[in-house]
Amino acid sequence: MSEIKVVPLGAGQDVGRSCILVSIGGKNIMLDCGMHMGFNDDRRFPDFSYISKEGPVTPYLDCVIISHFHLDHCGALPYLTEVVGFDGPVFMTTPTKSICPILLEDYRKITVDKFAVQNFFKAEDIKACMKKVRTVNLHEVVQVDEEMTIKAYYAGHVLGAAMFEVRVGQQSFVYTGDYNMTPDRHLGAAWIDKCRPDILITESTYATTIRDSKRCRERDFIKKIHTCLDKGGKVLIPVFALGRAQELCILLETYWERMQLQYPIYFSLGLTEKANNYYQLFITWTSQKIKKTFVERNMFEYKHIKPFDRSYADRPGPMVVFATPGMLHAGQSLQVFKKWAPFEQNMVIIPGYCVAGTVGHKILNGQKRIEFENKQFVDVKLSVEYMSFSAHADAKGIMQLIRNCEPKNVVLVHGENVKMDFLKDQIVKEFGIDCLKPANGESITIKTKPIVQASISVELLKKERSTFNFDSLFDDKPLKKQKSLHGVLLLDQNCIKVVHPKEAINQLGLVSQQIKFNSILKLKYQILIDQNNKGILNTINEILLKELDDLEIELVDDLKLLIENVEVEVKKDLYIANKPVKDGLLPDHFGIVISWNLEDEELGSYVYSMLKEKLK
Amino acid sequence: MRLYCLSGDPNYPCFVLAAKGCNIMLDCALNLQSLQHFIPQMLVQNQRFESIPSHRSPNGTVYDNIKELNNRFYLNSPLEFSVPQFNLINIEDIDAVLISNSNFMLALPYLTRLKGFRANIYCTEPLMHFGRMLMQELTHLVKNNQIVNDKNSEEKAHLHKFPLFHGLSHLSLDLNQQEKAIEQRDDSQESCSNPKLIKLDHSEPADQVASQTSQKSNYSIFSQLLNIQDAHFKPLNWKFLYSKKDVEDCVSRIKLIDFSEVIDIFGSVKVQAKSSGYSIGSCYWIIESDCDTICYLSKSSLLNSHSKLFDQYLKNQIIDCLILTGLNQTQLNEPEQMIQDFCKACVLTLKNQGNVLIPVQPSGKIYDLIEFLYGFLCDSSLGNTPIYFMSHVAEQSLAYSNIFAEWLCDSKQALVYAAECPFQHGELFKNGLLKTYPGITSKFNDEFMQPCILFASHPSLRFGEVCHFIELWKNSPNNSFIFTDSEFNYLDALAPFQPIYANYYYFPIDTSLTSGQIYKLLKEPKYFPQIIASNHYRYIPGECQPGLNDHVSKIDAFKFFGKVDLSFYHQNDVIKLALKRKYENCEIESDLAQILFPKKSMGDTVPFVTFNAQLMSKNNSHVLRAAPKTIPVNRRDRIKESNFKKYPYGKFNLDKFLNVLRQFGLSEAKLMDRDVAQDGLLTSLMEKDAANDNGLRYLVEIDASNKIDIDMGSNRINVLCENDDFRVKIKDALLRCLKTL
Repeated sequence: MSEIKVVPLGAGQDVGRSCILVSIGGKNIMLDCGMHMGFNDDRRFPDFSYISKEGPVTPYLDCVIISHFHLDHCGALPYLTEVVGFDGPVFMTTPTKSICPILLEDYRKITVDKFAVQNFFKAEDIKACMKKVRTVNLHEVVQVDEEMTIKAYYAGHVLGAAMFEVRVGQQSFVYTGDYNMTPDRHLGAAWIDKCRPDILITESTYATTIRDSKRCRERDFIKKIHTCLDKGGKVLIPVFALGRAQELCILLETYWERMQLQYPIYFSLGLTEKANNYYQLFITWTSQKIKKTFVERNMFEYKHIKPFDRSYADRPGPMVVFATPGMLHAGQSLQVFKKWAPFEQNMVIIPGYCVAGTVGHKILNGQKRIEFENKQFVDVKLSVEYMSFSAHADAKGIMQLIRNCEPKNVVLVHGENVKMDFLKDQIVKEFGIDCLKPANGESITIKTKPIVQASISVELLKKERSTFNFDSLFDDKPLKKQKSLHGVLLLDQNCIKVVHPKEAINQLGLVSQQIKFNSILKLKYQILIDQNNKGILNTINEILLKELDDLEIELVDDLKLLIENVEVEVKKDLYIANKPVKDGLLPDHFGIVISWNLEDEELGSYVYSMLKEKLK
Repeated sequence: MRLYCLSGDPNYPCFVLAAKGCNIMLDCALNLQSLQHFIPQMLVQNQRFESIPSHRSPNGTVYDNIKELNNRFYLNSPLEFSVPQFNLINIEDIDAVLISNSNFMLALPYLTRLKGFRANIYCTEPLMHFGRMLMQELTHLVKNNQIVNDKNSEEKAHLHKFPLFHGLSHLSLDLNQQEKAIEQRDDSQESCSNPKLIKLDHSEPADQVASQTSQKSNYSIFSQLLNIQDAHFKPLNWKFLYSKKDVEDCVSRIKLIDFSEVIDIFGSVKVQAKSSGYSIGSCYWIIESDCDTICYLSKSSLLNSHSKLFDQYLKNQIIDCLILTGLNQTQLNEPEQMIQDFCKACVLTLKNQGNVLIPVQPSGKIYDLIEFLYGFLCDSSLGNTPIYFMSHVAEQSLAYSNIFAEWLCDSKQALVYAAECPFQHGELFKNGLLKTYPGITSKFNDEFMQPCILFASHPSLRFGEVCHFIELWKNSPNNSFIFTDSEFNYLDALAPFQPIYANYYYFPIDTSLTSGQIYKLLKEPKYFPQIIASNHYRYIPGECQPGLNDHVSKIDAFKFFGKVDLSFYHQNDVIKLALKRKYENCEIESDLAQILFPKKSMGDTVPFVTFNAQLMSKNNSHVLRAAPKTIPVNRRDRIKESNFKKYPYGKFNLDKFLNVLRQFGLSEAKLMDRDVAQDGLLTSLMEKDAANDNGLRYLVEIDASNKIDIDMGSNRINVLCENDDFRVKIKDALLRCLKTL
């Protein structure tokens, strides 16, 4: 019995700092390598000492897979490869490889330059790290080494987000990263085939939510913004530069166009411009609709949305500002927030999840006074709205994914403990499979039943096909063939072969022996005379048919028949040879010779004893 | 396994591979060589082509649709194409179609519109888009002459708008302004005024031929006039182009795949595409059925151009059969040298104030040409020369080429990581140095500047805007026409336009595999593979004349030193693949695998173990699971259990056998001298068995009244016996003396 071990170093009963270790078939794989943005100390990075207390980690880790470019999934990667010194392969999709160094650099600047954090990676580290990255295309089966393959599936969460199937021999698991089962304005829905993994490691951010329809949420979102602007308020939308920002921009852009609104919309500069460029270059990763029309109309070139300048924040009058980063923990969005927070007419809309410890998290929890560095306090008077725009799968979506890929076990990560319990019950109830939710540092072991791949000889299959299949008699479904088989398994040069014993004897270079039995049934000649009108062989045939109607019986000639491989031959003059027959005098006995090879012993001896019994 | 060759020309391949109950079509190319036999299809009426008299045969018959021009014969009718021989197979039997190259899928709409077609078409995303563009361009440009004539009067009304074309008034028109009107007419005409097309759409192949036969009564004469040698290249079988709707239907059936994605076809065959390095998304295919591997190697390139490199998978894999198509047609011309010459010729022409016209396909090679040429122009301080790209799909083609980062080479990918366009033409397009036009539009007319570089389709010079520019520019010796395509013979292509006073150059840039590279690729075959190639590639010693012929890659079986089995095919051939399927894949479930411990005993070569199992066979896959633990007690049931079967082996020792018999309670068992014993009563019975075996025969005396006849060969034992109880004892004793599997 083999097993798969799963240990979350981060994201175990928790959101943020995704990092999960899996041991499968002698391989160790790290899934995501994220950082926790709520902390500014050692807790920021996963505890890599778990892998190896001292010395290099490379020998203990076969590969790292990054699901998408969000920092809570890739933020600690340069730290792992450059500071800790991991030297093995890192896999991610092409869009992730393009975008993640930019986000990393951006974050590095904020933390190191602004907060002067020590023990952080440097700008060169990011570049060096990216050189170790190998890209994976969707559905491409990548051979990592001789035994391990990985395959990426579309996850729809952000541009380039992917789910990964890892297979070692016959064991496999799927790691979803973050995913979204409903298509949105710029991305398609996650999709996976029926790959039946041993384990599905799925995120469970929205484990308890079943979100109302997308359309409703969008209408709400726009209405709130519109009302606030009409009242003369300013709207701040903290976003990450890539992903949700593009979706919201497309949404506002189309609304402004339709309603002919004049309120200015600003988008914080730098990152965003480049971000739109990426969306244009990776159009194949966006939704069907955008792909179809991209030659004529590029969805990522906006008319109403203008670049933002720091000074605009002090301008009077209503406006909408998209600013980074999304959780209000640093940067421009935080600066604008500080300025606008004390005024009631203003509004901040948080369109995604906020990690505990960030300002975003605090104000969502109703905190009315926020402390910043240098004992600076800001009163929060503006209205705070939370719109679940985060492109995660909800409970319905998670169940759908489980249905799609039919895993044997489910492991929940990237969610809150209480919510996980609810989902876990649901999964166990609906699918009747095991569902686990390990905490950080807790190791769980899942037993698997591996299937061994082998080559079976056509000869053996043919022989088995010709022999009778008794299940079909009782089975209503004749298509499902099931039969007993006697074979030899050979280990020939790392190749497992299943062959017929006769082939095996040949291949092993052994001396085969054929043992043939010829059993004689000595019968009174009178029987032969009694049966004369229809022939003794027909009588034998009838007896056999009655008992063994499911076997193939072939009449060779008047005196000989074959039942499967057993030969029955009537020898009328068997006992004449050494007793010359006097004229007109019939012999006392005649013989029936039943011959079979040793392998047909059961049938042969059965036929012999049956005929002996019935003919006497 | 069989391979049906639906096309004999390796530059337009189409096969059906019948493997393990699956029929897989490999490529579906449209042979465009028929085009050279037609009068160029001008967008407006051309006085010169119109005024040629019809052909008059020696006996006085006049053939309206055959014209003689510059000592060559041409068909004066709507363009027709040579389609693969779909008659060779039953359309309903095709399970999958694998596409390797965007040029090799152009006959697909003919296939998908046939009744009963139900297969999945697999190709990569770039191939689908570029293939769709090529088809769209064909359907857009190849029009019925009748329509062109009809709208001619309207066109003339527009002529005065374009001063550029005043001198050659018959050449100009604004297609785009009339696009809608034409398309509407197109639709209505296709359904009523063109009965030929309708018949093609809905009838079976046999009927199609019949319906066209009447239309083409004099095509056979044309064949003779043209002296067409290839028996399969019959004008009678040529077909009109499919409609726009056929293309849409066809594209909607395509299933997208990625390189190295493993696709399971009905559980019996697994296929995957590997990068062939020839163009964006082009691939070669690996087809695996159980233990046999077949490789379909289509247009491939080992050169480092813009697309992802050739996947070395082929080199490291045991291939049982290799199907070879799309080899280099101009292997004596180094692509690097050709592109240098090309750039030099462009610069030379521009310096003479001439225009350069480059007939091209709207995707693929043109991306490289633009990049190289722009670099060269900048070096020659001609960087501001306008570059025009005129094709119905020009804009699409450039836009799409820039969004397939995953399918490009590393250096292009690196640009994408920096948020830049992978191709320079993206930049040139933004700066206005490169301009695209869907056709001769009024916009083009306004913006057009000379001297310029103009890329236009189609390289056959039988349709598309390129025909007009040939007419327009052919009279000035300052202008140049540069051909880079080896697909069409440039002299044949230009023939109907002669006399031409402009310069014309031929710099064939063909990056596909040469025969030399093939030898290298298969230098050390790990296995004895079968190679299947077109008869066009057959190397016949002494046949090669200096000149055209040695450009074409030929395969010399001798160079493989007998390491391969080489077979050449013709059109309509059915080739048997030399594969012997000895094994199929199966799975052993864990409950069975756990109890099997293969062992290697003294003298054995490999570890092995005998076992009993339940075999489940479903959808071509086999699963072995542990046999049920309950053993049938009933003798009747035991018959069907193969578990009890035993296959003996090993050396037989007679003395041991007798010893065992005695242990079994037959204490008096002993060997009798056959000569001494009276003739066995069963001698006659044994005679025939023993006839061919000079083995030994024994009589074993159990007791005074029972004797058992044992006939023993070197590896066979025949037991003759009347008493079953004794027989069972003999059997057990024999098994004790032998080993069994």
